[in-house]
Amino acid sequence: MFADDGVERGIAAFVSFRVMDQTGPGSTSPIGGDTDGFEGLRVLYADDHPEMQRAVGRLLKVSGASSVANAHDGREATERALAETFDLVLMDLRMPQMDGFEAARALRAGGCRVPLVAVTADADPDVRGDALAAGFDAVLTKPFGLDELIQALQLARKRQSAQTSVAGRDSSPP
Amino acid sequence: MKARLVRCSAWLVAVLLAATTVAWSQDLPPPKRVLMLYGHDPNAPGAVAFTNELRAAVLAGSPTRVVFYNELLDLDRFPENARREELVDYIVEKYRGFSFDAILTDGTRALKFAIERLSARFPGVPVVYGLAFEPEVDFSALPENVTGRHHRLPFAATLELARALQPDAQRVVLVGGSSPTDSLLLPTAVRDMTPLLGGMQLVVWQDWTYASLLQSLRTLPPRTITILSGFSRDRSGQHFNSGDLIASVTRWASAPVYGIARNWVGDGVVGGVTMDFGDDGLHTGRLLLQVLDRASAGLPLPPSEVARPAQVVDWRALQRWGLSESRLPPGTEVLFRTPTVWERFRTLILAIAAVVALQSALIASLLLERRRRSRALRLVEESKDQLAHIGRVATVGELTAAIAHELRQPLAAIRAHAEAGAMLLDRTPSDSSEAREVFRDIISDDLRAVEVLDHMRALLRAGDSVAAPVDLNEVCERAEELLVQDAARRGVQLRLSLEPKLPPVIGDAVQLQQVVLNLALNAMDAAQASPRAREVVLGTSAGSGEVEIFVRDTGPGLSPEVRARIFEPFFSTKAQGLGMGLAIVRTIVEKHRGRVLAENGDAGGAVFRARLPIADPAGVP
Repeated sequence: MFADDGVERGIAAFVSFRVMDQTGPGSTSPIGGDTDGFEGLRVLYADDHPEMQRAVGRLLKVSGASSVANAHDGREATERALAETFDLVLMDLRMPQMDGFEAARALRAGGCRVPLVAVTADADPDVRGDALAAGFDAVLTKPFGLDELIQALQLARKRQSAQTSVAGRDSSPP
Repeated sequence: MKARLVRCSAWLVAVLLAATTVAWSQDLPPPKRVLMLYGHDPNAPGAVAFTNELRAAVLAGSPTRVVFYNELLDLDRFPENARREELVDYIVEKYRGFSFDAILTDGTRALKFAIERLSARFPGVPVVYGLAFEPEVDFSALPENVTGRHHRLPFAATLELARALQPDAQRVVLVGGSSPTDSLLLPTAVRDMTPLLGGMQLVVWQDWTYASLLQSLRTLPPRTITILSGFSRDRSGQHFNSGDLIASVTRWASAPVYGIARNWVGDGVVGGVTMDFGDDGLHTGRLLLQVLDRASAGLPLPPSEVARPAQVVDWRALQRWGLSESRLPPGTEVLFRTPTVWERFRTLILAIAAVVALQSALIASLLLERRRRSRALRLVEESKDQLAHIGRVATVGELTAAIAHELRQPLAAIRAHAEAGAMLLDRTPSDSSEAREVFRDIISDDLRAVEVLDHMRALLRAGDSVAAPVDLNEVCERAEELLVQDAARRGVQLRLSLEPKLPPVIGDAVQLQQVVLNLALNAMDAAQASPRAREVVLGTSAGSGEVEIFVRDTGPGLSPEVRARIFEPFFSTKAQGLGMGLAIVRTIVEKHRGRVLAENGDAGGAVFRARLPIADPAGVP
């Protein structure tokens, strides 16, 4: 009986752990590190692909984000990010008018210190380096799931909060 | 003295004259006299031939003159005359005091008459016979002072000849006349021919009138051999010379007719083994001359002869009856051979045939050429399509990054949807209505991915060109979807400038999209190298009767040398370029009955234009 109880509790803990991960604030992530999911976050997602907007927007909302704003190109993204307050900016690298690289540079030049995560369908390894050099804090490769999103978020936060130039090697998910 | 000289010379002259006179008269010995007895009608063609040849032979062969005294006994028509003493008396009386050197008889009857009745009254006169074919006399038992030539009736040999030419004959018809002479021949004929009949039936026609004979000959059944014996009288008593009637008799016959007299050949009989009376006359004439010479010298007479028959056929009759010359027994003489058209005009025919053959060969080779050419043209068209396909594959290859990029979007969206959906269902209470939304979104994203794949598949498709109405604006828009990622990657601005309400063209949308892609990719290559603005404008415009796709770039523009060769195959300004892209563009545009242009833009850079004819409102360009 004791054994059964233990297993049961273990399972319950695991399940609640997962649920807490989704819903509760400050839930422990399976990867380790401090916080958090998207609970209560205000997110700006810039992508010229409407289906991505819809899907990622929903995912973030279901994960607890308080708001997900949309931008369709780099210019719009830059304007909104500078004008409004966001906890996280997700940006597709390939956009018309102004692409993600330019937008990131513009934002950083404009003094924006919000965690900036690049999103790209481009599997080219050079892209990662270019994105980080342009001012992004992390790079997500499409397709990605919630786990990768969370990792990227944590990494970005860590970087921004460091306030100094990027240190160490980022162990971003492959 | 003088008088004596004159007298002497006169005597001399007289003697000389006398001598020459004597000599002269000794050059002209007295002529020979021949009593010629005609048993046959002298006007019968056979008799005419005999007489002519005989006289000619005699004239040619004798230095001595021979004079003929003719008596027409007409024993064929009046055979009883042979027994009449009055006839003998008449002849003897007529020539009283006249001596003959020979008696010549025409026909066996006349010979018989001469031997039995006349010789006694002309003792010592040799008798020479010719034209003797009737079997009335035993030619082997003639008196001593009789010699001559006779014929053996050639019925058997003629039948053999006929059988050789008509091996399938089932019937032999023997035609004979009703005169005593005619009747004499028939038993011999039947006797001689019967052993040779084999399975054939022998029919003897003797009881006919001339009219009924013609009718019977007209209705001869096939596979019949008809042999003519002598016919000088018909049942009604009408007399004729058979030789005169051969042409009429044979004209209407419905089966081949053979004959036994050489002079009949040429009038319509096929031929036969024949008695040649002309030849007979010649030899009889020579025999007569020998007799005349020997008799005067007291020598014995030359021996009698048997005439050799003439085996002859009429070539024209062979043709008429379709008888084969190759079946003829050896030694047969073929007469009246008319040269065939071939033989007469051989050279001309060969020349014409050569010309015709040459022309036919020419026509055949031209037709072959045409087929080869149309096949070549077809191959060229196929090659163009294949080339276009290869070009498309290459283009698609260039766009691989863009394609992969395109596919990742819906896949990423599906992933995000799926995770969100799972979370929604885990909630308590589970939010199934929004989960349902999620599934719907997943399906539509999946369809989007398939669309991208279909688009690629269409581009990669090989196959024959399609001809359908195409909206070039749509083509440009679809091309732009593929290009925008690539443009972004290169840092080139890609802009569309489409003319609203563009009229459609007839063509293959996939190939036209290939044109746009190629031009745009080239433009982006150029623009990418520009130090200033990097821009490509892809647009359409309408002109009179045509529409234009143009692609403008901000690259370095085209130098005159490059501009002249830009659309050439294997010409490239890039280090690793194959140089086929623009050549394929030109091939496709020209296939659509359009043209391509390359020029430099006003603001630097190059402009490429493809102009295509508008589709006819009726739908047929």
